Amino acid sequence: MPFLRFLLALLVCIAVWAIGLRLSPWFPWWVDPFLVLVIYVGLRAAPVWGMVAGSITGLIADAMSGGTYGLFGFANTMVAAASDRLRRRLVAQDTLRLGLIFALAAALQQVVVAGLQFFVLASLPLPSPLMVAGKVLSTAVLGTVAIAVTEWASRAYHQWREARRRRLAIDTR
Amino acid sequence: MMRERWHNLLLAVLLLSHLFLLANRPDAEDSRFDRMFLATVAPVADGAVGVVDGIGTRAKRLRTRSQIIEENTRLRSEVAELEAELVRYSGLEAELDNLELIANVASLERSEVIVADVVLADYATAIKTLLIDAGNAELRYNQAVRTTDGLVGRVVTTSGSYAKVQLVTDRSAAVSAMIARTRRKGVVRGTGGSLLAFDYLPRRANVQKGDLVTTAGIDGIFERGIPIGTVAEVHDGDDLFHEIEVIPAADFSRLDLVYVLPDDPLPDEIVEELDALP
Repeated sequence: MPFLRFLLALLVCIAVWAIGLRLSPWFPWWVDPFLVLVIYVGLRAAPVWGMVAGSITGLIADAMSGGTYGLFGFANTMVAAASDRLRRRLVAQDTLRLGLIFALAAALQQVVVAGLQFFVLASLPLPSPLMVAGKVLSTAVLGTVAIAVTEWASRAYHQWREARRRRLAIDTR
Repeated sequence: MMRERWHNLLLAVLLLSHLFLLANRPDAEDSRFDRMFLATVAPVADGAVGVVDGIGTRAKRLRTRSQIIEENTRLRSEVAELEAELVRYSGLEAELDNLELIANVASLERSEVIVADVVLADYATAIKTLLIDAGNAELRYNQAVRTTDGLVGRVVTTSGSYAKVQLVTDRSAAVSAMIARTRRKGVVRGTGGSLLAFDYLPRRANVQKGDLVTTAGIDGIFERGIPIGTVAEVHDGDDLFHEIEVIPAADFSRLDLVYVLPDDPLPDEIVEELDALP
């Protein structure tokens, strides 16, 4: 079930990325839906699952951004592991702290990607500071929104189930 | 504690495998890995883009009568211009057939140009690529891709009707090129930015700002005469060569349809001679 949910989220990410690129070719400069998914899974799922999801999502992001396999794979695996550790150290329930975790994890990804580009792929240009800031901000906002929406949906679903259970109990009496 | 160790071990294994992938990037661009991803990801992306385009088309239908009349007038004049051009090209084709007859050479087989729809254009990331959908046509590795304005790039990965195109602005792209006015040849390479660099043009060669740069047709991929761009700046480089910046002819921000040029195979005699070479 978690795998199916992850797969569905991955398809949504690919669709968002494709639609974003269609609307503006500069979309990947500012928004990374795969990064939002990785941090979300890192914060919400079991650690092993978070790391595997980070690897898979990273490889897909690599394929989408030209085929330098391993670049985002490495960075997103690290981000998933770091998100899990942050979750265990900080009890983050309020929007501000969640946003901060998303922002820190996005900044970590940008640092790791820049480091790999500099030390391993010397031929690729480093991302601009403005682009990094934009991505950190958008990830923080989108991540917080994603958590708020899923929590609201989960609460609504449980309320609906509870109401239905009560109605069925009354009917059978 | 034990569980923590297992997690760290898994993390180390995953990170090392990604580093291994990164350090051992295959030279062949048309890799199986790439094709697999193209086959799974491209249909999802195409579907999502199709939905957005569908909404856009429906929105466009809500236009006023005056806009439709205006567009109709414009299209009619465009059709008239294109018909005139077609007549001119028919004349040129007939002339070419005559020349072939006079020169007593075998008639050239002119293959079809494939029109492909641009699914995605990603030139924001460091590696600039384009995802295209050619419908029922079969695309092949290294086929040249252009617009009516000029050169776009070449096909680097194919999967079914989808193909990934390396843009000419990609840092690892290189094209044999020439200054159309003087026929001096060099190499145009992508810089990763919006401009191209024209390398290996000797300092004594005559080149000016505004000169048209076209493909030279000697790299075995791009046929001669496709516009690449115009010279934007000429600097005195080192002792031997100019440093030249070129503005691409194709407008990459407005790519919608592209043309995939046929990769006409070499005649069998030449292939045999090449194979026989040590």
